[in-house]
Amino acid sequence: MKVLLIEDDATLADYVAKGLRECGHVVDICRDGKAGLYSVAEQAHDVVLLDRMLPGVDGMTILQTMRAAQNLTPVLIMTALGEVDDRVEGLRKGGDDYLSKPFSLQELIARVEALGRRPAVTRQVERIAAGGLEMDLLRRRVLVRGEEVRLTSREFQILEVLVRNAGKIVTRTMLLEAVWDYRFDPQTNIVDQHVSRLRQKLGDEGASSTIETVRGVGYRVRG
Amino acid sequence: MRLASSLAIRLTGALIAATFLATASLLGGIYYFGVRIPMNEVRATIRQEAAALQAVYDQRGEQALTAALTERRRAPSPNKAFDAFIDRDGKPLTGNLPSWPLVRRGNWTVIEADLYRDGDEDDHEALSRDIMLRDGRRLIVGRDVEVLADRKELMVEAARWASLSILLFGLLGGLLISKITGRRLEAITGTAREVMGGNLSVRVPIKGSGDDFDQLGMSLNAMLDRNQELVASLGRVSDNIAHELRTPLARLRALLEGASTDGGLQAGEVEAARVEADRLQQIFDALLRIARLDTGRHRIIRNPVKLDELVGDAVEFYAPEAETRGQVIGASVTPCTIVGDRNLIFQAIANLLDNALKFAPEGGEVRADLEVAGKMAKLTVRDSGPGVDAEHRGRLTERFFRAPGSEAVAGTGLGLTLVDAIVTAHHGTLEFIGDGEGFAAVVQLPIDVGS
Repeated sequence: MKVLLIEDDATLADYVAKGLRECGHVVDICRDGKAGLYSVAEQAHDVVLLDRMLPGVDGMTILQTMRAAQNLTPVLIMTALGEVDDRVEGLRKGGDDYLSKPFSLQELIARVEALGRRPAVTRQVERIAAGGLEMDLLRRRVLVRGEEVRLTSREFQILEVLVRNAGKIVTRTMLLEAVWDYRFDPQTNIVDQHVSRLRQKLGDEGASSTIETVRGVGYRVRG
Repeated sequence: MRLASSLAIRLTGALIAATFLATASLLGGIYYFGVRIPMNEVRATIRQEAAALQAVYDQRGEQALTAALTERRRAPSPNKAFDAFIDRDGKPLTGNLPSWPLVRRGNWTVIEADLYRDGDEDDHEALSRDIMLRDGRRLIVGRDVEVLADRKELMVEAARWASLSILLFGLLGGLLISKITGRRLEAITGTAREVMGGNLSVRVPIKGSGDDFDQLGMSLNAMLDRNQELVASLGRVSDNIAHELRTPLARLRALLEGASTDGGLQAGEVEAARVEADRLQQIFDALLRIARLDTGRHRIIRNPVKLDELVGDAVEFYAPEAETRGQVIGASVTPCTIVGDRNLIFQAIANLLDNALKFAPEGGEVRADLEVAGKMAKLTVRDSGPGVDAEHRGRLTERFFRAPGSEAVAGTGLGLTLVDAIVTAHHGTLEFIGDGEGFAAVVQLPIDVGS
């Protein structure tokens, strides 16, 4: 993917760019708002990483300019403010995702990759499948190697998010945001408990499990 | 002192003016009833007498007038009668006035009528009516008004003295006021300066008389007490923050220093360093959220929130955790709607459940019960844990406070502080009950009246 990174902090920008490149992405960096504004106008990128506070032109202004020009490139806003209402504002002004500093690089990469794939995923589909799992989204049924497994609606939602992103990492926070309709900090890692319960029901424990744990980051369903 | 004196000058001016007006109205009253009215009565009498005497002369002639004047002089009266009957050439025909103006100066005149009795001169004044008779003769009829004239003079004198003493005593009083207020105000100013200088423990001296200055002083002292308390608690909070941040920072530093001497971090050490960094971030985030809520900088989105749904979702969210811990989690809810920020309310419920699960023993029970009590929605989150002693319960919402015995339980000591901040921002209350059989947090939030 081609990623445009608009970030004025050189250390952070280099660190993020290095991480993204290691995952096989192409990264262009802009160090201030004005350069960022020119770069987004080219519409040559798959995802834009936008720092909220920039010298010159403010991040929110860049976002609004993009959306006003019908530029629909997915935008991930990065900010040091990190408050719930700032997040709400950022998303309302056309941001697609929001990450508060400091963040883990893996969390950022997982989100960037999720954003880049978004158009294909949001298409209406009835059935999705991955790693021996088959999900009937209309009838809310799950088949594991051809046998039906009964799940609660929450467990079904978790599995759906993982299968839709098969082959990619889904972080705990991403799961929390996608499955539970609340913005909150659970303090303890309760999401893990939900996933482990889901695994039990799927009979999916052990080294060869379909839902793979990525240490310290999140989960991935083998594609 | 400058402020005091300008106030004192105005007060003195007002005092003098008021006293002056009071005295003037008193003297004016005395003058009106003691001089003016009696004088008018005398004047009316003279007018009648003169008219009657003129009629006597007109109808019965000179003889009759002379007789009538003599008669009038003899009649007893508090105001001695005076008269002069003067011929056309200015020679007196009869009369007892010692002198009179040569030329008539008008209808009324006041004539000196000193009397000599046993060789003593007795000052008298006669209010007189000066009449031209029809044949050119002149008749002056008067009565003694010396008493009234004296009284009038006395009053003028009194007014003069009164003015002088009012001015004198007023200035003296003003000086006294300025001295007293000046001293009291200076005490307050001095205290304020000292507080500004950094000494928060000084207080305005109270005289104990309960006067206005004492009232002011007591209010200021109460304010200073509250300020000192706040500054002290702020200091405690800063100390606590510094301390709480120090521990993870120290561990991070130790890990990094270890890495530089051992030649790189081991996998476990990297994870440990990340945990410490996460903990730091968690503390910062929580502190910022609490501060923003406490100071009203966090804009609360106010939407109708179905509290029963939130409680149900939160209990469902924590169910796997309870299962892992071998605990039973249950809920009973009454449908009710409040107004507020659903994410914040959910966070508060989550924190309470998180606490309850941490403190309930293995095999213990956690319950969330939502009921409606009058105009309030009442959520009780109960656990079968050891509870908290009454002496510590009041401090549970303090930042970083951990009840003795809970050190082994993971946490930042900010969970309940955040709950309290959220509940307060939603005009609700948070109470703790520890009735010997576990512990319960009770949140009460006002029900949406529109629902």
